[in-house]
Amino acid sequence: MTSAWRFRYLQFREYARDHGLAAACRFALHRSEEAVPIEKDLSALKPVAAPPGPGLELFEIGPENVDRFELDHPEESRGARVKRYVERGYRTLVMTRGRKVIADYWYVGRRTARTRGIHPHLRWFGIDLGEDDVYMFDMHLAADERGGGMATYFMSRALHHLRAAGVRRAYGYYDAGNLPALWVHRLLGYRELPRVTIHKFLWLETAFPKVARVSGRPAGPDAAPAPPARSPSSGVDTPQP
Amino acid sequence: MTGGEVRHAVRGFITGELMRASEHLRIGDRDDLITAGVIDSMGIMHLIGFLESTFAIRVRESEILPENFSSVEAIASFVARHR
Repeated sequence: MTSAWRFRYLQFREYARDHGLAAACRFALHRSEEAVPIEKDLSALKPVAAPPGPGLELFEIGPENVDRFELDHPEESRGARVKRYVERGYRTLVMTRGRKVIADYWYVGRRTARTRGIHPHLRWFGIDLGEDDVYMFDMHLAADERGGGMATYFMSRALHHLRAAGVRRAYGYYDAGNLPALWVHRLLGYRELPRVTIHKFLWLETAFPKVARVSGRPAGPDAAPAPPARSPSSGVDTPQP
Repeated sequence: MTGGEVRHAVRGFITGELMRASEHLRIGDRDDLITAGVIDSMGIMHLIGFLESTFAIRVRESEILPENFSSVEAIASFVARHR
């Protein structure tokens, strides 16, 4: 089984385990989400809070050291995507306790990307990465580690790590329906950009801006902040990475 | 429900549902619940559910901001504005 199909199979199996087979089939066939693109200027970071537990370490993994780590991922699909992502020039920040991966968060920048588009989401959100910017995506926190401020702590550590490495601005997005993610991003002071509706059909993803073009007023719950440098693309069909 | 009763109900929910047993100290109305890790990413979900069901209010997504939920006093003020 190719790595891409194995990864999707593992995701489907994990979703079915947690939500049932029927829900997993519906999830795989079609779903939509309201994406909230976000931006964080890393020159204005709050200090990292005290760790919510002992023995936590943060590592960065990329093509130069991926083979040196033998880690226990909380979900098999998280481990299965590492090779595929690293081949694309994506890098990951991993928080561990011993060999156990508690959380991981992927990112890519102009300097690390091995694909011309850097990352498919950048076209959806109209993000034009600068040389010192990164796009962060696909964050996961082990289910038994949620709560107690772990998500905020991990993301804060990740941002500080990136700033120390010379990154000036971090982009990403969260699903507007994901309340814990919304809360963590607002706690960390991210700026929210114009929203995009993402439709996922099997392995294809399509994105449409949420702004009502006719009236020029945003369709979201609040007036959207200033748009990014480039206007969002619309109706872009993108294979899922 | 008076403002004092709202604060009492909010404080009771927070100490009873969001704080670990080892943390069951008296919390002040102005104590920072976010810095203390009480209103974390999971806690905010439970808190909003409690507020909406207990006080018959609707919390809009745009209102889910740290300043509205940082302390018992802030939460009680938020509830008062919506009743």
